[in-house]
Amino acid sequence: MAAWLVRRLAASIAIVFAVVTITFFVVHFAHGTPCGTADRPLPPEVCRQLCRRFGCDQPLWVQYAKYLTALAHGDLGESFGLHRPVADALADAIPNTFTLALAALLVDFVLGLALGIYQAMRAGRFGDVAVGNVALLVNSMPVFWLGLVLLLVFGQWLRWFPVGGPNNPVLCPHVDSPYCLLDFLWHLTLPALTLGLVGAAATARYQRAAMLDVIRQDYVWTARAKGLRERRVLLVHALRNALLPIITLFGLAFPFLFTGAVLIETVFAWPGMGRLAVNAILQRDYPVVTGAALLTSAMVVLGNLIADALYAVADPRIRVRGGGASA
Amino acid sequence: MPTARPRAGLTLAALACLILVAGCERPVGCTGEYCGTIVIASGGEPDILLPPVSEFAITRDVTDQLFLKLADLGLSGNTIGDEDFQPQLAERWEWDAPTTLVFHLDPRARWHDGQAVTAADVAFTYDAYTDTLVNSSFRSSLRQIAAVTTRDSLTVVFRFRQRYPEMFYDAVYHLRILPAHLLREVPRDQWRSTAFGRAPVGDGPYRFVAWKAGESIELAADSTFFLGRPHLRRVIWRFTSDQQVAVTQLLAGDADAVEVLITPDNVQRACADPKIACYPYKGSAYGYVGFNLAAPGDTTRPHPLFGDRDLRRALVMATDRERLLRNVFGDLAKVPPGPVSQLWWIWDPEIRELPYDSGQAARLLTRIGWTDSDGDGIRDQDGRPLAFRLLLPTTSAIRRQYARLLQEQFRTAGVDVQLDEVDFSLFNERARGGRFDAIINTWNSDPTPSSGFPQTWTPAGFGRSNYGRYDNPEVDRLVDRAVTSAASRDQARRAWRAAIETLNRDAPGIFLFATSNVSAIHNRIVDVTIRPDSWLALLRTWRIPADRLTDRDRVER
Amino acid sequence: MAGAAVLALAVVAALRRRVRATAAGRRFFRHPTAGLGLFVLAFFVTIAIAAPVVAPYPPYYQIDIAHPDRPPSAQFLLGTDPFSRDVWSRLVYGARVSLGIGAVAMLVAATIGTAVGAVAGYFRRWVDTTLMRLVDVGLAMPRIFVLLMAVALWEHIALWALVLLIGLTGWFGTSRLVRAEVLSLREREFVAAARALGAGAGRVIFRHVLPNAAAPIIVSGALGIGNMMLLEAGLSFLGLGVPSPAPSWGNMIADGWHKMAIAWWSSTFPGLAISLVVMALNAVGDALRDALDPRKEAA
Repeated sequence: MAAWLVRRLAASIAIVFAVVTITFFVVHFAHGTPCGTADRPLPPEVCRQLCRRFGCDQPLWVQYAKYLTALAHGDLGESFGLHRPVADALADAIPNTFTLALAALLVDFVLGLALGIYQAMRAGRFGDVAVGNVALLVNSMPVFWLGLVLLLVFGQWLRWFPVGGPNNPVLCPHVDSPYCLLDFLWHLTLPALTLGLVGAAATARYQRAAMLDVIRQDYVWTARAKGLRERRVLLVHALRNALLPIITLFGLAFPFLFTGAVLIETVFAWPGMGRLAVNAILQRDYPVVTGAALLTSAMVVLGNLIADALYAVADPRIRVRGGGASA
Repeated sequence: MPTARPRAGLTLAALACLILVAGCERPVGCTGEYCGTIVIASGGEPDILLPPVSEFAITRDVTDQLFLKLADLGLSGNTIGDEDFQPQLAERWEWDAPTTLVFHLDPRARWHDGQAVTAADVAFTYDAYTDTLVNSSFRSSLRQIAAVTTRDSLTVVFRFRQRYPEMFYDAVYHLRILPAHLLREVPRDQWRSTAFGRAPVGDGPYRFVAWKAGESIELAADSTFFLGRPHLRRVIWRFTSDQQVAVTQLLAGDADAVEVLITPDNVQRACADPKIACYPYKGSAYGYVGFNLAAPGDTTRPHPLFGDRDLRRALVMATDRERLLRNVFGDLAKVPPGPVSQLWWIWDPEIRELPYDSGQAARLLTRIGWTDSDGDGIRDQDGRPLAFRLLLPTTSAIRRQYARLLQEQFRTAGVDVQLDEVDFSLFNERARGGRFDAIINTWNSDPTPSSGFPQTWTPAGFGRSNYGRYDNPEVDRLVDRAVTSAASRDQARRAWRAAIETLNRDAPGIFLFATSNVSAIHNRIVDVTIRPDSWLALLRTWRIPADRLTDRDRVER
Repeated sequence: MAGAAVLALAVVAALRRRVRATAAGRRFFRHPTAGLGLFVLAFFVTIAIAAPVVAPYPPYYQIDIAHPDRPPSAQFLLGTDPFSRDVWSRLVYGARVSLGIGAVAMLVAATIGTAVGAVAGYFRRWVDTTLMRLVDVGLAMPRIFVLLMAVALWEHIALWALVLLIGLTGWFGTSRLVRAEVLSLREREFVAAARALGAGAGRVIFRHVLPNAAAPIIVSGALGIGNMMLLEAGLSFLGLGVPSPAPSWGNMIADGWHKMAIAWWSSTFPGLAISLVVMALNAVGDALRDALDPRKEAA
């Protein structure tokens, strides 16, 4: 088990390293010198600073080495547009995306689980078919379009939720009281709901299939034969074993969440990493772009790693075999 | 494993109760006449809070609260002479000679770090504004001032090169006095990126508190401000991706004020809302399509298309400006008779301009050799199609709307237009560098045409705001006469009219709209006076009565 | 519109009759949504092909710019957008663009993914390891991010280049699928027989292995088109996809976004169209999976 974990960890680090390298070279070739292009000359002192760090006249390999050294020290550079260190900008944005993703995952799994169980209990009947089709429709919607519709209906027409932003800037610029926490959660509801709904549909399908699979297994027949109530049979015995696919989905969720977050954060003006990355890309703010690329891939890889580890913990068969699904 | 569904319902209900309860238990904070927070939603963000080096309107809004001028424009908006100006930093002034102006500073004026404001600050400010290393865009407005000297610590002397109607305006309107003791050590070529610009120290009614990049700027009232303590304790600007989002925030109650409501639908919704008060005022902006008369990237050669005056005239005549305006603005703007904003006293619908006549435009295009020889719907000549790219920033919904409408209008006239929608900083860079075919620009004008017009339409603006490099000596001569040597207002008006009519015949651009602004402010804020040239100029006189304070007004931070 | 619906219905009915004969066909139509999905797809493909006939107005035509945002009526089936263009006409022409981009991008992705997966699965050892590591790196970066970066780094990206890029970033999943299939198939007798007869690697892959691995490729293709369409819609929404005035369902949503409160039809109908098509693709993909691969039990 430990050996497997170490191998996976090494592989993950290698992947992140590869992403960093590719991003560096792609950006470098695309925009030439660190001092901006003819269309966007940087202010002279910024240019001087950059050349001091990266060595403008030195060969590419030296620049790359300097870039890596800086990275090792946690120095991601200075943003052109925001006039502050990239690391600071990312540090401010990441918690917002993180909470959004977490809330969305919560909605996703809770709703998906509930719907999947319901569908399994009513397999083949009207409830199953109806929920299945609605779930299919929701899963097929463009996530930003769903966000727009929800924003329109619940934010502008019904006024149940705010129309964007993470907080009330006057009363609660930071979450420092129970009231401000509630305010934050209130602002979080619509974006998290949007992201979560689309994912919940897929989760429900997986969960239904897994539950139905498990129901036919022997140990479930045994439980029924022992005279346990149907509900207990399903929820206690079957569910425990049907949870495994969920863990896989957890690992797959990260890329989807980031893609969705990019669009959702634009619709709801949520100051997370997605919006930061999009604005940086549109404004050609290359330090932020490389920093964001690095961080997102690291998070995706980490998510996969955690999912694999959880899977190994949950399913003893894998542990015994001494390996997992290949990375 | 608990069942998720019923629990979810309970949790939601509990959450709702908590929110309601928490809403009731707000601690009592500020009470009385000097409380209140105003949240201003803005579709743009300042680049740097240092007046000489920024041209953004939003920067001016913020720095107007931080820095004082010697004297400020009165509500009448009259820029001629000095009778209608209000004392600010200078408590009084007199004319020692026809071209010598002496200001006496108010001894009570203090910088926010405690130091006294002295005449040396004024002289230093003038020096900075006119320094080529600082490269301020306001330098040309100050060219008639020969020298600024100090007589003692509270007396400043301005000497002019000649006598002309708007001398006083030139001396006071653009100069926002800066603290010499804090800026003297900063090298002049580094002013655009100096730390002072991110955390300025001023002498105005509001003090700088914080600037969260991309999010907000917060200012707090200076309780010892010598011209009267501001009533509103805090001012917060909240930045959004564009102005429409700002309006949405106002309508949702997340913001208290927006500068312009932009579209007729917004005006309808906002003014119908009982919690919002609408304030219409004359707009100081006009928008236009500017043709690049020089080749992109090479100012020595004429533009292959727009160097031809007839082609430009044909394009102007092919544009149905009235209907375009109706689509974008409804009745919130007027078609200008030239590069004129509604605020200017020279606004005159009778000024002669090219009419909308698509038939004549088509005939003119054919006459100069542009015909559709290959039947693809686009005119061409010698194998070259009549095609160009239109440059505009992604941040302006108005310009994006116009661009798409114009694209279709020109297509029916046989002209192929491709859109270059770029971010704001790239837009500015390419505009200044002349790297475009045509540009849609909005010009936020001063209260008088005297400084802005030459900057945009004469060679004095080359490399600055005259992006298209339009140059007509006749126009220069007429403008000069209007600004400097006109003996009476009528003479000046005639000269201006002749200048604009000459410019219209050359068709350096298509003048699309002159805004009529409607500002929307939450109605708990009273005593609101909006000066059309700078809507927040009188912010320090606005107030919220003690009985209408809301939760966020009571915050004392 | 009605004509197109009838035509699509006829196509589906004919297909059903023909295919019912085979066992796979019967398995396919056992799914209640499969027939419906096929109908929806046939409908949209029909109107896309017959766009000039179906659409009452040209897609770029701004009918009456002084009065934009007309609600749906007899004259304008789905209303007009903020530039006074007929939404139904743009939807029809937009179907061409959106469906076309989805299909072409999927073709690119499927081709590359199949090639890479087949090579990795057949040759194994170091070829397999390197290729799969490449796939891991590709999967680590979220697609939309890569696409945004590409669009931003090259100032005027042509539409065909964008489609190519969407395809180039989407083959990783398919390659894994194909690799798994090839790995299991290569041990079968017919492969050994082909090799014994002296067939080269390429021949074995193309003529013997791949045809048997076709099922998962087709299924993932059907599902993948939907993903590509959603991606194009997202990019167009951010302003980086299909440029105006050419209609695509994504940029139609972007055009009407700001006016949602007063003119909901401009953004709602294109979104609905995307949802229906992707849902149909999902339903058809699911049914295909069951039809073509009888080993898996129907749930």
